[in-house]
Amino acid sequence: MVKYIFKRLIISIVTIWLLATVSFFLLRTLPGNPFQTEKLLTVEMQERMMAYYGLDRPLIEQYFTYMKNLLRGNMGYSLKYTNRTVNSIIASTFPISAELGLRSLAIALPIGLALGVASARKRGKAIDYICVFVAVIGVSIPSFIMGSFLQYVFAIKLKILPVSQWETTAHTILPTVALALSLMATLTRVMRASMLEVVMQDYIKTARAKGLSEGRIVWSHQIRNALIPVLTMLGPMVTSVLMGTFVIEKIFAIPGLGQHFVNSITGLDYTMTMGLTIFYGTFLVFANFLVDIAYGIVDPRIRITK
Amino acid sequence: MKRKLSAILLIVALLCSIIAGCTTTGNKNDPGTSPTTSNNTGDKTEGSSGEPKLADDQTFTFVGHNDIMTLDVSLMNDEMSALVMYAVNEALIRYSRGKVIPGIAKEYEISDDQTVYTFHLRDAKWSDGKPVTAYDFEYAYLRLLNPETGSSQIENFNAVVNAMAYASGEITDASQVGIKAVDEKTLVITLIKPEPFFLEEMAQGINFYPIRKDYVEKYGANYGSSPESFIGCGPFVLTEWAQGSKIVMEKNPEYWDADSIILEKVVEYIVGDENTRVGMYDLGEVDGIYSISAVQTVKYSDSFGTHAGGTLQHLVFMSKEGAILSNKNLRLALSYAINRDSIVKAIASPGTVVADSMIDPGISLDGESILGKYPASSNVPANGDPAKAKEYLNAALSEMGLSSPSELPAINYVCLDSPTHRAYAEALQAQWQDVLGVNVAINIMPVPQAIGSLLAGEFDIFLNGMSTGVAPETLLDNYTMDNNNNYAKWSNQEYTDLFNQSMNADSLEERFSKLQQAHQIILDECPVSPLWMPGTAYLYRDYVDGISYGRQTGSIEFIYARILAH
Repeated sequence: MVKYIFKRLIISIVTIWLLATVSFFLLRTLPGNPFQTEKLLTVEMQERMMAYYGLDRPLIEQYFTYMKNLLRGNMGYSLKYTNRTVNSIIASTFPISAELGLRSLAIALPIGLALGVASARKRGKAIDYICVFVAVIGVSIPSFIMGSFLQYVFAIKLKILPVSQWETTAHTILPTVALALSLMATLTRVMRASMLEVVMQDYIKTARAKGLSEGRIVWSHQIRNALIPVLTMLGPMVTSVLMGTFVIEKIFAIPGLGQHFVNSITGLDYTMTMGLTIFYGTFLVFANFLVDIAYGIVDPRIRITK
Repeated sequence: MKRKLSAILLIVALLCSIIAGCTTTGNKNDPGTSPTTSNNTGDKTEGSSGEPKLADDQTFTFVGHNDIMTLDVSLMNDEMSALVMYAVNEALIRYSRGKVIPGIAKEYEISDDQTVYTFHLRDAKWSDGKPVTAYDFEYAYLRLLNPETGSSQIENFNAVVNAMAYASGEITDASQVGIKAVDEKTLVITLIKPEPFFLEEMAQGINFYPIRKDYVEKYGANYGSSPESFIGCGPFVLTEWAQGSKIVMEKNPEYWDADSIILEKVVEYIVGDENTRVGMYDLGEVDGIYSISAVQTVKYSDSFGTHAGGTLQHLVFMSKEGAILSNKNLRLALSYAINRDSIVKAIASPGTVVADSMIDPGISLDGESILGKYPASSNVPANGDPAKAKEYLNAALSEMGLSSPSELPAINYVCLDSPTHRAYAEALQAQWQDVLGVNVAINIMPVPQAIGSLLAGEFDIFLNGMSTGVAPETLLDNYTMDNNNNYAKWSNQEYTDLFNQSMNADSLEERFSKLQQAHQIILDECPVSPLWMPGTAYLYRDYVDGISYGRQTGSIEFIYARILAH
């Protein structure tokens, strides 16, 4: 186990290094520079700013400087929010996005999985159709429509919840639900499909032939095996949800991390884009690592120790 | 992908506003009311007779769309930071309701040769009670110019002796710069030559505020990134800045003119989504919206106000040798074919006015409009002149040896990726097609790439929006020969000579009349074609009294506002 973790750690570090390197050079191939904003700076001023931030130096030199700082955990100052470091921006906005994400997952995970199981168990029955219908709606309605709709009904018309901001628990309800609905729908669909596949397996027939109780079959054989595709999906899903969602955060005016992903790349804020990419990548690598360990718990056949 | 998303968002926004519009009860919507007739001045309820009763709670809340980027005066370059800075800090002089008024300086003298400005400071205090001194201003201005600060705003000081040399690192001795605190209460600024617009520049500019050296030294590079790391001497104190979410300012009891300030508290929410902003306004969570889109002005047709000026949108035609639009008649044909009036009415934000010159008519000296006294015009009617456009087109075609407009090579219109810019591009493209039969291809690019193309000269047509500044030559300055910022790559000896003569003129009369001649040449030659000065619509409740918008960014004046009983 220790050896395995050590090996994975090395692979993870190499992955993150590759990610940082490739992003660094890809980002610089984009035409334009961060000082070419709608508010036109003169050519002379742009050159002054490029020189000030060392962006006029050879790219390879900039790369080594960046990597050296990155090793010390320093991702530099944002080029747009001039007095704030990328570290401090992530530190202040990530907890907000993560809180929203965790709240949504806490709702979406149990309900989504339960609906998926129920739906598969009662295949072709009314409950199945209802679950599938809800899941299709949830997956196909984009979050900005769902968010605006919830906001319109519950905040503007019924006036029972706040329109926006991120202050009290009441403020968190609408965005949490808006985000949870699509997650729940996705989970329901994957879980249902996976359950249906498992039900057909020979080992389920064997279990039945052995005379196991139905509850035991569902719990230990069906759900447990059906969870594997869900687990695979969970790594990237949790990462993307915790990292914030641009649209939901925009609609409900939540000062999370999501907006920065979009704004930093459109504004060519090099340091910010790099910082976010590396942060996201590291988180994803870590999440996948946890998923790998979870595989082994769910399915002993994929034990990692051997 | 992003383009598609924003298109969908736009449709949803439209749908939502239609639904919202339909369900509004009462007779707020009067289709007969022309939107532009309401409150063009900006002072919404000014001039009502008698002293109105004030509300007990003097808290003003409004919602804006962007966070402030920085509170570091030396680096500040964005509208929202400027807006907050106007309230929480104060420069030597202040620009308020179209006038220069005293700020921290109680008076100033200008030497007989018009080059030495001596400011006498009043007894003002920072919000922590320490006195504001001339050294704070000297420090702030020299810090901005210091190459180690990395400011893009140094051109604010280009009239000052040795300022540019110091900023470029040519000289390292700051004491040679014409900015000097003589004692605690006296600041002397020395200009290279008389510059009548320097005071306006100081008043309307956003980088002339004082800075406390001990704060910069304490917080280093993080100075101005939080309420704790910033201190001001303005009418309000920044008490909370929840980044990306909320800004709270409270009345500053230490402000020298605190008696004139009625508001106790100002709260700005930062909300990226317009429907959310409008929802907050409808629910009464905020008293106003900083700016609203043209779509929303339909819903609030009788209650919104507008302000315009400060920016000129104009077409830049790539005029360098070898380019398609190096043909002057073709440029004129394109310019005359545009029905500016119809585009402004259909697409532009309310308050937008058609322009026919490269000088903002609002630029004035001693209360007199420079353009009014020294007029120049492109002579293109606001609704275009299709007949004349066709004449120019035919002349151009015969010069190029072509028989029909379809034989013209592809004309490349580089367009910024924003909803308004796309709408403008499509409207212009349609008009050129309809009037002239000329085919223009629109090439939409993200902002940095589009600006990159503009600077590299990789376009034929570019719709450029630029601040008109406080001096009349601001936009004309770029188009002299061999200027790096001559976006049209237009080369005209006569224009360049006249412009330079104007800049080196001994008298104001000579300066402006030379500039007038140059101005007329650029309009006749048409490397740039003025379109309109974009306006902005805003929305405030009736009980918010005394809000006004300045010409330049950063001068939204809620500082003298008050909340009436309601």
